[in-house]
Amino acid sequence: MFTKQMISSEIPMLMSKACEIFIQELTFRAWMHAEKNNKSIVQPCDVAKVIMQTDTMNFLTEIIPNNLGDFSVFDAKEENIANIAEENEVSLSFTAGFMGNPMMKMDSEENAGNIVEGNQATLPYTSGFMGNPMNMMNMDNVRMK
Amino acid sequence: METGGFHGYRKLPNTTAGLKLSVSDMNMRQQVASSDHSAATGEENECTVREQDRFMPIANVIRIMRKILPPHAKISDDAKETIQECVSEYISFITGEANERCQREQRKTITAEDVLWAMSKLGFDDYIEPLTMYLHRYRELEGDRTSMRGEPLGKRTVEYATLGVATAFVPPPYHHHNGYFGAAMPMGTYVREAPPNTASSHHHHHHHHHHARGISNAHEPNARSI
Repeated sequence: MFTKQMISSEIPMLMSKACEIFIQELTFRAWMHAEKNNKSIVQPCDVAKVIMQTDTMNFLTEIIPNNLGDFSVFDAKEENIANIAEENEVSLSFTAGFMGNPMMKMDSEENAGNIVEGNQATLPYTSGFMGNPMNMMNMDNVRMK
Repeated sequence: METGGFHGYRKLPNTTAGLKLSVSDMNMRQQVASSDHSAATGEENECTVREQDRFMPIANVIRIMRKILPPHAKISDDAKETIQECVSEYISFITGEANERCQREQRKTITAEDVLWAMSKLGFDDYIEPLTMYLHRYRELEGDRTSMRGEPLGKRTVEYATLGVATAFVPPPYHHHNGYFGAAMPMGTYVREAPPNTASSHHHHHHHHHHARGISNAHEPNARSI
């Protein structure tokens, strides 16, 4: 039974901003995946890959198969499960650095130092970054030092 | 012209999904009505979710996507629709969790704090800080019209006072975000959204400038604490 609930007038505003951040995070990660495969166009399989590789996005796995049409794409890459696991570990460690230096993020842990340096280098250019809310996430990088 | 209309929303085969959808629907209707939340409104439309209410308007989703990508990047129409569906699921996911907490504590009104708590619990910790600062600025601008106003932490007060100066030059974000929930309007209305989009661009310019200051100002306190 669904109980009648009311919502604070702040929630539509808060959720719309959260959705903007969510869309941009998902889009940017999908773009990084497409670029890694030398593509300049983001496809549903790029989005699906992000959903599978990012723990916080796992709640979306149920809507992938229908949209992709052919789920066997992932079955064919079963031998890459270990690599996917590694990528998950790396992405988890540097979630806060998502916007700091995305390219370095895809590398292994041995490049952690470079990632930190990359974050430092990007700080002077935060004014040039398009996604405003993402700039705030850079603050996490500063604290991580 | 960007194509990609609304498609049938595949209901998840469990009761929880229905519950989450209802909560999400209340959120969307609340914004469309531009009025204080009303149980009657929710009850009235609870069982009749219209097609155009199931997803966020795709033109707005695409605009947000493009802002984060380099100019030469392209997005396939299918990818646009995939992310459009993901956003609806995200709203249901977060608001469903917030609603459960609210009911557990036998409260009638879901608050912004419930939503922020749900995001943290569900792994979106990185979203808390930008949203909290955004919420504080919103409360300042809305003043007495805010129904659930909480006292910010001492540290936030400092940051807030600093940000307050820059806020004076930023248009009210509430007006801007009305555009995000144009779902109830007919498809053709998106064309008329163009002027507001221009205003949006202008707004985001200021918004960005504002955040740039916020970063530089907030940096020193952090450095001192370290």
